[in-house]
Amino acid sequence: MSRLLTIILKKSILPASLLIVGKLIGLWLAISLYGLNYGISNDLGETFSVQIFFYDKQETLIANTFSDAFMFFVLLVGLLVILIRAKVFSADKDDLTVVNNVNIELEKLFKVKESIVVNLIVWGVYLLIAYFLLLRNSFYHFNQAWLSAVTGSLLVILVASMFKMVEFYVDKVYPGDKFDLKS
Amino acid sequence: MEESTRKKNSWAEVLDPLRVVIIVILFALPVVTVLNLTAGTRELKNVLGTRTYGNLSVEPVAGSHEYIRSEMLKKGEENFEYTAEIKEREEGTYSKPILNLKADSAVSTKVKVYGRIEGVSYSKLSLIFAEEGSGGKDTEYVVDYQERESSYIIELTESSDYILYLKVENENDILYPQNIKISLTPINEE
Repeated sequence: MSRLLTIILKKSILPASLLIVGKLIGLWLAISLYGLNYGISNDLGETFSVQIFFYDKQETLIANTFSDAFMFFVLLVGLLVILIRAKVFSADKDDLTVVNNVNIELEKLFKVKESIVVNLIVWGVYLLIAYFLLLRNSFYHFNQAWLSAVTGSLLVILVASMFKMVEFYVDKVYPGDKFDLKS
Repeated sequence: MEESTRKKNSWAEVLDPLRVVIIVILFALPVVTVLNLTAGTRELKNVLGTRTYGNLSVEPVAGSHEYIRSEMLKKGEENFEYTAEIKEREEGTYSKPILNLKADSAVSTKVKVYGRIEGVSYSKLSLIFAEEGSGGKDTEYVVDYQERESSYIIELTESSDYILYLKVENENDILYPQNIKISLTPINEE
């Protein structure tokens, strides 16, 4: 239990930071690229005392759409990297891939341990969180509705690949009927 | 050996709940932060509505400016406070009508004006009072120049309307945005 918790803890730090940093950079990019006119309020009576605001609804829509998209894609890229790394550098690959990997001294990138499954799950959960935040903003018309449709479709594809990958690793640990003595 | 295993287990018992709490925080904190970073809208008209103080009513002039932005008008306990931001800019003169002033009384109204442009710069901040229908009777007051601030007492003619212009002049390029603050305090002569 302790070991699993430690792995989850370690693996959560990066996506948690990226979620915040992605949103922040997205906002900054939207403001810089579109030259948006923003303000920062300090209302002590409200739930969030310090809040960024725009003077125009259209500007708010642009900023939120851009920053939400950026936040989602940062996590998406992170998860894709893990998926690709797990797929390409899997020890279960044919000899040629392994030899190539060794040749270019990428042995250290072999992360075929139990942690890769946890890593995939943690990143997947953070991506889901990002999607729900984005969906919530679409529901309240803080961002454009097409964004949740596009990201939702991408999420379905990615989650399906993720499950396949997790299944692959689970099969490696618990081979199932491959080693069934009856067969 | 058994002793060390027992110690290890007791440590795990203490640390496990702590790990769970940290994990929960690691999941909750980004959610709260992202929700907080979700921008909202504040209509300018809610901030810059007509404000009155005794006989003097102050109303913002509508319209946008390429350099002068984020305008706000607040009514304090004794004064009106106008704030704006002027973006980074090349050398030159930048001007914008900012406020409509109306003195609704049978006698003239005195107003103390004061202005400041924040940051170390050699920008010159002036206020121009233009009386409507007076045929070009404009008076310019330099309120901040080379970090020397000045305040003026201006007499507004009874039942007349004024447009207050903001004028910023700088001899060099300014590479960063600056905040402008203007205070208008009606003087009660009772």
